[in-house]
Amino acid sequence: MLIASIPILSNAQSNELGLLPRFNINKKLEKDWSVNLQIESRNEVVEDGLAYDYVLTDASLLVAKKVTLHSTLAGGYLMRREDGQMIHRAIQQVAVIQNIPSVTLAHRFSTDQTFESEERNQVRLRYRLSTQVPLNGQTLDPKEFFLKLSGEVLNEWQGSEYGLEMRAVAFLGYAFQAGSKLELGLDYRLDGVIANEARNRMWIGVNYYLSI
Amino acid sequence: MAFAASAQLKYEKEVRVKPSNVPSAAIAFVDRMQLERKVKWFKETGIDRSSFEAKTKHQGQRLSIEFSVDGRFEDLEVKIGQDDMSGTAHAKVRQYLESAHLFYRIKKVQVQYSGGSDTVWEFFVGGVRSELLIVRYELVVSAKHKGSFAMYEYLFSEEGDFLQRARITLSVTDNIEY
Repeated sequence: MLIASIPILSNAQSNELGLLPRFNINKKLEKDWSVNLQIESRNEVVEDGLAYDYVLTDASLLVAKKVTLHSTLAGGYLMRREDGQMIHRAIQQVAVIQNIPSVTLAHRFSTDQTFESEERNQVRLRYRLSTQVPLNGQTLDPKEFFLKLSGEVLNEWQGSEYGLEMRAVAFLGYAFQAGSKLELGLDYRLDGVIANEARNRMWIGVNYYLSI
Repeated sequence: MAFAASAQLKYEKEVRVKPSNVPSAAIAFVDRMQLERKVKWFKETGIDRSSFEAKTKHQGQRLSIEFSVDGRFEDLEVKIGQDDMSGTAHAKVRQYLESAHLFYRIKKVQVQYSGGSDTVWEFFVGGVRSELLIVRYELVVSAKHKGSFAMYEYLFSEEGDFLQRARITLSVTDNIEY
C-alpha cells in the first residue's frame, strides 16, 4: 500500500520495500574525542513481488572530535559487503546541533568517496536536517517517547554522471536512558529521477543507539 | 581557580503537567500575578529534589516561577540580555568567568527574585522593592574546561559575586548526528 501510494515520477521506475536494522554505538573518550561504530543491514522484502532478499551489510567506524560545544567533526571508513564483494568508503562529516525550546535540530554536512572494483569511484556530497522532538516536556528524558524526523539531499558524481537522491525519515523513538534509544519507523529514498529511472525505496527501520 | 561547587551536577527531568496536578497554593500565586498569557506547568525532577515550574511570557519577557512540591513559592526568574545586568555586576561576572575559563560564552542570563512570595509579588506587580527582596543572576555558560567543552549554570549575587556553579548534564544526540 505504501509503495502504491508513491506518485509516479517517470515511466521507468522501480519500487522496493525492505527492512533496515541498524546498531550504533558511540564511545566517548577524553578531551571531547569519541569513536562511533555502526552496523547496518539491508534486506528487501518486496521488489516485483513478495520475496525476501538479503542485500548488504555496512560496518563503519568514525573518529570524532567536538570543535565547539554543539559541533563535531568526524571522519572514518565504511566497509560494505554486497554480492560477495567488498566496497570501501571514506567518510568526512560535520554535525551541528541547535537547541531551540522543545526541539533539537541537527545539521549534518558530509562527503564520502566510494571505491569499488570494476566501478568508477563515486563521490557524494550530502546535507541532512534532523529533528528530535520529545513527546512530553521540553527536553528528552529517560523513559520518554520522542519523534525523529529528517530530510536529506545527496548529490552523487560517478565519472561524468551526476545523480540526485532524496531521503525522508520518520521514526518513533523511546529513550530507555539518555544514551540508550530505540527507534522504529520508515526511511523513504528516491533516486534516479534525473536519469529518468526513478527508484522508490521504502525501508522499515529499526535503530538502536547506545552511548557509553 | 578553585570552585567550591565544582563537583555539583545539574540534571532536570521536565514533564508537562496539567494545572489540576499542581498544588493549589502555586496556582493561587500565579493567578495573583496578573500575567498576560497562558501559563504552562511542568514538574521538574532533579538529582536530589523535585519542583513545579510555571512558564509563560509577560510583557515580552520569558518568565519561570518555581515552587516546591507542596506549592511553596521559591523564586521568579526573568530572562534578560547580558547587557541588562547592572554595569558593576556584569563587569565582575565577566572578570570571574575570564579567570575561571580559557574560553567561555554566556548562553543565557536570568535575573532571579526570591525572598518570599509576598516580597516578590509586591515587586513584580506593584514595583515596590522591599529590603527582603533577594536579587541574583543565573547564567548558563558554555566553556572549555580541562580540554573538554561543557555547559555550566552559575549563580551570582546582585553585585556580581560568585555564589555557586553546577555542571549541566548535556543531552545525548548521537541518533541525530549519525
